[in-house]
Amino acid sequence: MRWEVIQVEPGEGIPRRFRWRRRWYPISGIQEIWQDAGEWWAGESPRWFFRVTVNGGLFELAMDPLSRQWWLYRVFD
Amino acid sequence: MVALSGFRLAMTNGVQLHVHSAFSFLDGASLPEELVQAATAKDIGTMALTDSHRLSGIVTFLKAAQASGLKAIAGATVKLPGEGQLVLLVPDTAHLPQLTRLLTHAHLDHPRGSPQVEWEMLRRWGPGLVALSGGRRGVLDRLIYAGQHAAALDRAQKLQGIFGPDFYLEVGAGWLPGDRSIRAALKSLGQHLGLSLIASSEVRHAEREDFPVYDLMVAIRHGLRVEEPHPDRPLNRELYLKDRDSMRRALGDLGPEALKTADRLAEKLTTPEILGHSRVPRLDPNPETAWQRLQQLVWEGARRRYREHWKAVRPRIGHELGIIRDLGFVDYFLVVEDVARFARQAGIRFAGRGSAADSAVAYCLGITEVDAVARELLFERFLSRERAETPDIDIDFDARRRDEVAQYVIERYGRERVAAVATYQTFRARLAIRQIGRVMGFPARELDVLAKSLPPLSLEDMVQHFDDIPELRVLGLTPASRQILAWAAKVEGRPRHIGTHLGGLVISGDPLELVTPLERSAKGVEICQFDKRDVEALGLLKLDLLSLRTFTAVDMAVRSITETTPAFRYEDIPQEDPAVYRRLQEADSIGVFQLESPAQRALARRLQPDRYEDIVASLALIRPGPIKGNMVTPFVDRRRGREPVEYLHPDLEPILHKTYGVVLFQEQVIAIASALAGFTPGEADQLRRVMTHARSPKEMERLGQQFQLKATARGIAPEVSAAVFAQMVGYASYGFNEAHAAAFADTAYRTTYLLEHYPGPYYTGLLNAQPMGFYPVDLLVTEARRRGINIAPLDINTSGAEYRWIPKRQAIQTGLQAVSGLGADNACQLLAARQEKPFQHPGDVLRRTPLHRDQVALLVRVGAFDAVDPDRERWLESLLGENPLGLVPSQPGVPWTIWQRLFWEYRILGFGQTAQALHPWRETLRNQGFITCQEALAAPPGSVVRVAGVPVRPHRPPTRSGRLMVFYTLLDETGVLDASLDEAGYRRVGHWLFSGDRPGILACSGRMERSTMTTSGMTAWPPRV
Repeated sequence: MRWEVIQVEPGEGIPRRFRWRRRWYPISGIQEIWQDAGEWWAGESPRWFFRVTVNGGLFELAMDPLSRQWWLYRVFD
Repeated sequence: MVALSGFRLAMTNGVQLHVHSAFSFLDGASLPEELVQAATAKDIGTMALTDSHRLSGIVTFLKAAQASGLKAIAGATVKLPGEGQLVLLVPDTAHLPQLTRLLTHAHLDHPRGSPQVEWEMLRRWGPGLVALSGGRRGVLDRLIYAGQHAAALDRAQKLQGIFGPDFYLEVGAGWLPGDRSIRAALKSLGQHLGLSLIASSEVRHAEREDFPVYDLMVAIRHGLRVEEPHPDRPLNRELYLKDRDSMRRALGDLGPEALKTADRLAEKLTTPEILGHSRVPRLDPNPETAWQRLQQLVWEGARRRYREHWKAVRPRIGHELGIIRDLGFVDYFLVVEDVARFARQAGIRFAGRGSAADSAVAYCLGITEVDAVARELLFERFLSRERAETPDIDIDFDARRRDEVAQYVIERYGRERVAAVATYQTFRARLAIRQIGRVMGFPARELDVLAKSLPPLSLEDMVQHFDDIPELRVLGLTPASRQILAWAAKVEGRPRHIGTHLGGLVISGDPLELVTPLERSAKGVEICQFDKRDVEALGLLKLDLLSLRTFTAVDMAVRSITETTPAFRYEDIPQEDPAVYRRLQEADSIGVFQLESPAQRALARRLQPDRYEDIVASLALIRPGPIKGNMVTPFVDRRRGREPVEYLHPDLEPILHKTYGVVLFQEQVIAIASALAGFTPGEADQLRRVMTHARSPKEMERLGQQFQLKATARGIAPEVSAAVFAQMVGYASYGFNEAHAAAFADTAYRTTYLLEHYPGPYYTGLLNAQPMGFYPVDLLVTEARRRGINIAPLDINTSGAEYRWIPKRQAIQTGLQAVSGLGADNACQLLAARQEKPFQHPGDVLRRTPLHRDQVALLVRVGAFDAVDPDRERWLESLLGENPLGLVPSQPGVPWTIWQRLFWEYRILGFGQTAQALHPWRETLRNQGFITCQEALAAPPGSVVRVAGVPVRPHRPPTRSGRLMVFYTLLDETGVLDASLDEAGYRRVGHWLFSGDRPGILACSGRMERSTMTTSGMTAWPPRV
């Protein structure tokens, strides 16, 4: 789990491309979307997760819907 | 309603067929009525309730759905061992028994608390039901998620083989990881097998924001801390009741097809019609024969009860019988009579209580002991054509023998037709605090202190008024503790698990498993899945066979009395014995049934009862309602002649004369409405019920207009009818059932007689029947001593299993069962071994009985071997020290001090055999200026006193002014002193009485008023540093 803050260009409710290590990655497909409740007892808000394919690579992105903050959550090598 | 629900279905487009309520017990957060409310708000037209292995929520669900026009479907979620869950839906009323049978076997064929359904059971009872694959915890999803697609295909084929086209592949809208790939696999499975995909949200809570409550419940269920993950703990807040748009969004491209399937199935399924059908057993298949049998029994009883006057009661009995027959309760009365007859023949003490005592038929049948005719009680309070509800007949039995009666019922009516009534055990404040606190990771010991400090308020109120509650304030709660309270408040009142009703049995005309699933209670009793209210809605006959420990005490007392006075008969106790009333007037009634509390004794001092009716009135007066309604003082003043008895209208005199013009009983309201406004008795009872439950001023105003209109039409002056109605309204929220008071008064009078004339045997009975009554053993023993009764200590060679009355020594001897941690079986084994020869040594007990060393040590510590040799230290040394075999004589020990003796006696027996706990401290206390409880009672009114004692039963009852008032009792070696503490005092020192670590002895000061101390100061004794 990386939790690296990234920049994302959203499409219609789903991400279209994201910028990581000074490079934009266009998203070619979304394999899964799920929600995680987070540590609600500690005041954390729920987050949405997207498992996306990018030019042969597989990534998981996370988003806080309240702050619109995006993270790169996981990179599948 | 049918047309209405059809309309809603046509106009709405939401369907949810996999919904768990809080009756899934820790696997669902919302109550059925909350789910129905949410469904209505979200335009959902059809909803199925599919709780895990149970139908307990179905009655509430059906009623709420009917009221809101929602189409309600019955179902359940079941677990296939090692495979996952499956949702089963009932397509129509005819197929409900299949599900109840299946659920019954799921429970009864497996260990308690682990119901499950094997494939064979599904094959047997499944066909005809509708099955959904169960969502993410379902049989198929689990295999697919694990990549076992071949196994998933196999299970889908098996389920298709059982349910045919009525097996559906459930696609979830829960936004869980893996949903998309599972949906894709289910789609191809469906195409391969020709099965339909159906949309589901696998609902666990009504609204998204209810998720924390659900999550806490799941954590409690699995014993997890809040931060611990678990496969059954969903990762998100999405298992809520979704509307059509939210479903569509979550299901993606499968949405249209899966939602359409749900719509089609919803149209096909019908609501089961299970409410309101009578299922009363028939003792005789021919109704006419049963009717004749009931008449015969009643008239025989009438001749026995009323002797030569029986013809005079014919009209009344005929009237009651007519209503009983018209309402279809002939068999019900025959069943209750049958049970009462069994108890009588078996010599089991019993008495009918409650409104059944309003019935002369019940009196003639020997079910109750209250003469409804002589007391002019109104039958319609018990049963009326207008109400047409199943009457409630509650019978108290000697607690030791209540199960014999239950066993008789099972044998008489058949095991398959009888079961115990369930209770839905909800999260109470203390339990919620303990369980939520554990989830949050706090130690049990701390939670215990917090839980024991809770006042009798809802947690919600505590959260809001936290700083005004001294027992919480003194704890100095941290933000974390406040958080526990806040979260516990969210689960408080929600069902947690199923329990067994204390006395309720259902008896069904049909085999019960056709009506309700059965399961096993902790004690191994078969219980139905419904509580007493739902059982009635299902048309089942409910009998309340209650355990009353007072009857146990009475029975034991009577046995002791007849050993020396063989002619004594409890049933022949003389009425109106002046000595009985003297005892009550002196408020010396600790141990008396229902009249021993401080409030009752305080009333007795004021009322000075000298006749039976005073007892009946006392029982009705000390209730929250009459106290709040300020009825006690007017009643007492009128009764004592200090205030004139006046009636607003002459017609009220015959109704209210026995209560001196005060409206005290429910029956009186019915009679007033009949006499003044011409209501039929049944209508009048309905008015009473509405008045009792109506809370809005508008509703009351409407009732008042109705009453006055009718009264005016009968020539009553409007101002009189308005005043009478105002009097009835004043009564409305607190009226008491006279029949019930009269039934209890009989036992109250007789137990006062026993206490007055046979205190030794009666106290012996009370001690043996513990736990019961208002006071602990320590207090009862002190009271016995005050009456000159000796306490003979436990003796290994002379004590019986129970406490025993020894007339020659005027002593109660402690019984072996009083030893905490010994148990009845061990006591019996010990007695059996003693029959061979007396015990010489603790080692002797170890050798000849199954008692283990620690249990024998308990006996030594309470002096059971003192008669052999009082050197307890030496006995313990031989038992637990270096010569455990007892083969080598031990060295003589140091004799125990009285404090040592008392420490162990209180710890093991709950009282001091040697003396009461305060006794050895008396000299010290005198030197510090403390007087005894008896000296305080003898002090002139207005005296300021200082008393130290053991605090007993502190409580905060409702008061007339609504202000908070605390009552408690202090106990020392001379007896008891009742005391009160006002609201300001409670805020200052209330924590000494109510906090979780209450001191054993309190030092109190205050002013004496009417034999009660008004407390001004309080602290622990000896003072805490």
